[in-house]
Amino acid sequence: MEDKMKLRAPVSQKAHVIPIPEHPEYIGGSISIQLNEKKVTVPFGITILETCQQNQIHIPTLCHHKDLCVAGVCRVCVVEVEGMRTLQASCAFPITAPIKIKTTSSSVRRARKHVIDLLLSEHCGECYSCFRNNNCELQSLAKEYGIDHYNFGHIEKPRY
Amino acid sequence: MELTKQKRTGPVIFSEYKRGDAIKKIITMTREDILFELKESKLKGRGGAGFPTSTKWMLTAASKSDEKFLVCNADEGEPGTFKDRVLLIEYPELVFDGMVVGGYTIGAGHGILYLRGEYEYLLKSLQDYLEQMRKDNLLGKNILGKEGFNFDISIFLGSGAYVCGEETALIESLEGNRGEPRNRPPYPISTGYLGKPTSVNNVETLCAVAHIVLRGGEWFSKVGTDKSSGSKLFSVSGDCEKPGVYELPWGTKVSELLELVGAKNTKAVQIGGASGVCIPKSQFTRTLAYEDVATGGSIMIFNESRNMLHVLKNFMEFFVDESCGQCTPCRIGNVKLLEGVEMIESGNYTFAHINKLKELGKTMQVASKCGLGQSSPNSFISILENFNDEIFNSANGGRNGR
Repeated sequence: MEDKMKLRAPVSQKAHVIPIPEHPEYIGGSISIQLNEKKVTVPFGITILETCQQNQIHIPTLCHHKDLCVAGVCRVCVVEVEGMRTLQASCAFPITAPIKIKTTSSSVRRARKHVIDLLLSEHCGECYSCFRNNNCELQSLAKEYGIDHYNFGHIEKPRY
Repeated sequence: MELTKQKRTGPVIFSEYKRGDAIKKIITMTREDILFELKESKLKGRGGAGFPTSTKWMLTAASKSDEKFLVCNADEGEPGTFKDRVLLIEYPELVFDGMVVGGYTIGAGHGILYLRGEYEYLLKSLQDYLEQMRKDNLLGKNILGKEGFNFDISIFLGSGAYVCGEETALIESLEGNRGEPRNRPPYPISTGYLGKPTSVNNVETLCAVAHIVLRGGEWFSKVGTDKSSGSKLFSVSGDCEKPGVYELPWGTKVSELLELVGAKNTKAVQIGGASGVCIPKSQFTRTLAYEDVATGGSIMIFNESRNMLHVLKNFMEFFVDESCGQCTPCRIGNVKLLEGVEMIESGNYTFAHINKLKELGKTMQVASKCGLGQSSPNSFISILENFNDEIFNSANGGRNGR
């Protein structure tokens, strides 16, 4: 944790690590949550993203990487947590209470689609002439969410 | 700069109050008593979000730590708000007594006033005031002779970003970092300033607290409506005869407020600053309350001569400038909304695209990381919906979309 603090990323993006108990089977070490109709028991402090990965539920991510800080800024991984007005970034949400999570509701899918749309609108270049064509996370994500044209325009020149 | 003071009257905050009264009262009370009075009063945070103050303080008081902080958020950056400045100039006794009460309740030893950078000219008078309080033993160690009641206040001068009014960005800024919102949870009530439990409260909330502990929560809850108790300071600006700060109980109708300030030929009222909603003439019977139109206190009045599209463009340019640039919906979304407004201005738009942008606005409201992105589409959606006729039919010479 100390090492993560020293990284040169913005401090607002440093990880707020909640130590995961060594023995989750002890009292208070684990929490029962509802994940898309399914009841699962997870260790205290684990993020929603990790829980979903362990339970074979696919959540798209872009800014999340296990070697980087927890930024929670791309908002592609948003999920719906019952009782909360807004959608939550699953990579930055430690589970500390019994919550109900929906990963594929209509608002979640719409939000993800909009986020990918917005990212593409600022993404310079065309796929057919791109070096990474057919080996690109953003491209496959756009395909997964059915985005076949630029909804919010497209820039011609790189901005930086 | 000369600070002018003016005699004001109002039901709660502008009523009679002598310096130190609330502190004299609380040293005879326990924490639980104060929290009970606050719960009874149903006081909600006055910054705009409306989180119950009693809950926030109860949670902060309950979290275990050797050190806790109380931060007073005086970074009023919302366009059209100036109530906190009036309170700091004319009623510093209420603000600082409220902070001492808060510090006592949550068990904090240190209070910080986060003063907006543009209010630097207030700094000297406020520091003189704090010095005077220390001399009278209203601050410092063993306040008013109560053993173990230590509380001191320092003033931190903000650095001038709009987003620093958001509580986690404010804490980042206090720590000396770039003002950017943090991920939540964990909330500041458990992990705030320097990782310690921190309660961030608006200036007006703390002023109300000073009155509540003095006169009881029941007295406070009688003012206003059932769900939103007490009164609110409104910073009224724009096309009216008597702009200024007014204290009115919650539940006041918009039309009553307009009559009071002498507004004529009013076309629209923007409630809650740039991030609030804009309501047309037909909705002036709506009430100002948390259950109907919630507001952080800013009321902007526009008369018939104003072009609502220009108003909207001004707001959107503001948000494009002030977005901190972390999360995608806010960073790119605001630019797209501004582009949409520019398209309407030039007449080069389709209704399909405008509807798409409205949908995008609704996504930004739920998917953004902090309150800035969540509230910035409010004005876009409300102005385009409520002034549909004006914007799409007359403003562009009748070009009804291409």
